[in-house]
Amino acid sequence: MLQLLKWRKLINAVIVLFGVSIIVFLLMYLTGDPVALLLPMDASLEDAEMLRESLGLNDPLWQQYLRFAGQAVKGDFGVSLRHHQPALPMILAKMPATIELTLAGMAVALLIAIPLGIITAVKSNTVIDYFGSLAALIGQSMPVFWLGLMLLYLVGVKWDLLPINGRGSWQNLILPAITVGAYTAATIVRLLRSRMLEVMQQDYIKTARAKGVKKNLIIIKHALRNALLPVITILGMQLGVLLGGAVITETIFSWPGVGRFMIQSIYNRDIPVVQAGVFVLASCIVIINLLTDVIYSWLDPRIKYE
Amino acid sequence: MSKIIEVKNLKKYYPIKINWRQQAVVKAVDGISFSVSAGQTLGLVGESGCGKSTTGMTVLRLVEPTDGDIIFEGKNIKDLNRVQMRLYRKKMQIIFQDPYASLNPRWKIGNTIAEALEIHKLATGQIGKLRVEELLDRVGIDPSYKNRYPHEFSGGQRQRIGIARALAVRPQFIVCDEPVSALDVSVQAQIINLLAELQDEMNLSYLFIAHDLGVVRQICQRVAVMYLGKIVEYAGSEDLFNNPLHPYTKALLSAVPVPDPLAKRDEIVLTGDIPSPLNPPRGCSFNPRCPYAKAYCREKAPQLSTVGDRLVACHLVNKIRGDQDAAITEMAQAN
Repeated sequence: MLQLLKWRKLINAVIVLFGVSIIVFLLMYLTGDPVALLLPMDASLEDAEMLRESLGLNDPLWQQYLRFAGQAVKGDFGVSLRHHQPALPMILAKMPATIELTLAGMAVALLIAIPLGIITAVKSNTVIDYFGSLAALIGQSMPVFWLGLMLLYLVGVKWDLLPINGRGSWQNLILPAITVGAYTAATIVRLLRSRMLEVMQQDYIKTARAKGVKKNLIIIKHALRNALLPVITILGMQLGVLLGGAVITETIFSWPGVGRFMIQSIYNRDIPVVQAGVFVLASCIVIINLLTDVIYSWLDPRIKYE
Repeated sequence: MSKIIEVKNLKKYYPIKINWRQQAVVKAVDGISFSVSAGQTLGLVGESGCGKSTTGMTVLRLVEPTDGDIIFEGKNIKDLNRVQMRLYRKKMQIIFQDPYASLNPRWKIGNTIAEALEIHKLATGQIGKLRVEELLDRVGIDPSYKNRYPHEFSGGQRQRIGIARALAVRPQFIVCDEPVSALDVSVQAQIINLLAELQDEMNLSYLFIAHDLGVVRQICQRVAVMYLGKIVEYAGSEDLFNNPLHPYTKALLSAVPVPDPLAKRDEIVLTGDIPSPLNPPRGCSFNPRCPYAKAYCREKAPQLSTVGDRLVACHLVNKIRGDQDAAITEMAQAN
């Protein structure tokens, strides 16, 4: 049963990637005639027709797709129109920066959200709870680009505390990581708070108290583990959002990652790079979802058998 | 017979916000007293919402009492702090009603049982493992199941695990908070028998909370009947079942099905709902539903007073004594 479920998940993932590949393929046509992008402005119609024929753009669409897919499977998304290098390696070279930013954002979110979620629940309806919940509400309501620009202006420029652009030392990472993680942190605080409040009412918490377990241990060993489950799901979904959201943050803070590179490529109509970028990010999200399922069944013993 | 636990004038009030400036108080438990002797079972019965479960939890200080004394083995534990209380945690335990909610779903049952052993440093490591297996075996669960999770067991099995968990610390006193009302009737009997066996074996004392009077009659030596946070009748089990005095007890007993279809019975059907504890009726709290209620029942709340070798809170039952009082008053006025 377990095996079957795993296989089904894998097959689902492959189907999703197939769908993504079709969309990525059609991106080429999204901005009009691809031939016009490749040729200089003053090229003749005959030149255009020759190029079209040589690129196989006159073939039926499904043949073109099969050719594209066949090459994509081998990791060949074509050559960057601007940089004249293979597109996929260029994207992959930018991946570490994006992953670093995403993980840092996630780390910031968890470091803030888990303690705050627990404290607001344990001290519910006190001043601490009101401030924590208000902060979470603000964090959830604030647009990413606004928070990024405010941090950049206030912390970076006005108070001159931290560097505002580029990648390098850990100081460079702080502002972008906060920007990326703020929304996720706020979401987790709210979710964890309500879940903790629910779990703390359960009989098994009373059982633990009757056993004489210390209060802090009850919160961590009995309550938190039960309350974290939906947080893991949200975390998996948020990780995808963070990867995609990195496009905005990377642009604001000139972070040399995939997102910023893709934005530049869109400006340059560098379609092969955009295709490779979209495909890589989509694949990451599919893999994250698969991992989330695995972690979920590991955390909740009931799920394995259902 | 030595009293293991004695509760005096126990109160638990919950403040309720009606709106932003008005507050009301729900008197969930309103000044009740009882005691349990070593090796005996006291039944606590009443309708849903009468404060039975709150009483059980308050006695163990899982819920903090508003007022009153809880004397366990001669020591008042009501004001002990958390650390001092830990000593008593291993002497008094609880079995909950819902076996689906009382075991942590994320924990293997063996670990749930072993945790208490570790906290109180009763058995650790290999000895702890053996003790867990022994406990499971005693309650009728195959010890090799100790690495399974609660969802892999049926309701009856879970309740057995709950009992093993409570027994782990070798308690002297256990609050059984409706331990069988969530179970099938056939399973109920097994659990009741198990509890009775364990009581004989370990000289346990139970506070047995239930609304099923048949079960109570089977297992309890004494019974306290609660209504709206107060005890209205407190008597030996046989006396109470053979000759209930309080009208509410009579009504409860008349609702118990009798196996003989030809048996004649005076059925008292209670009309109306239990009044809101937010706004209890004046006088005797049972008066709006009492078929015998007189005018003075609506004026003055009856005290729990001795009738024979039991306690009853009813003007009508105390009438004889009341008449004497009236006679004395008359005489005093005449003089």
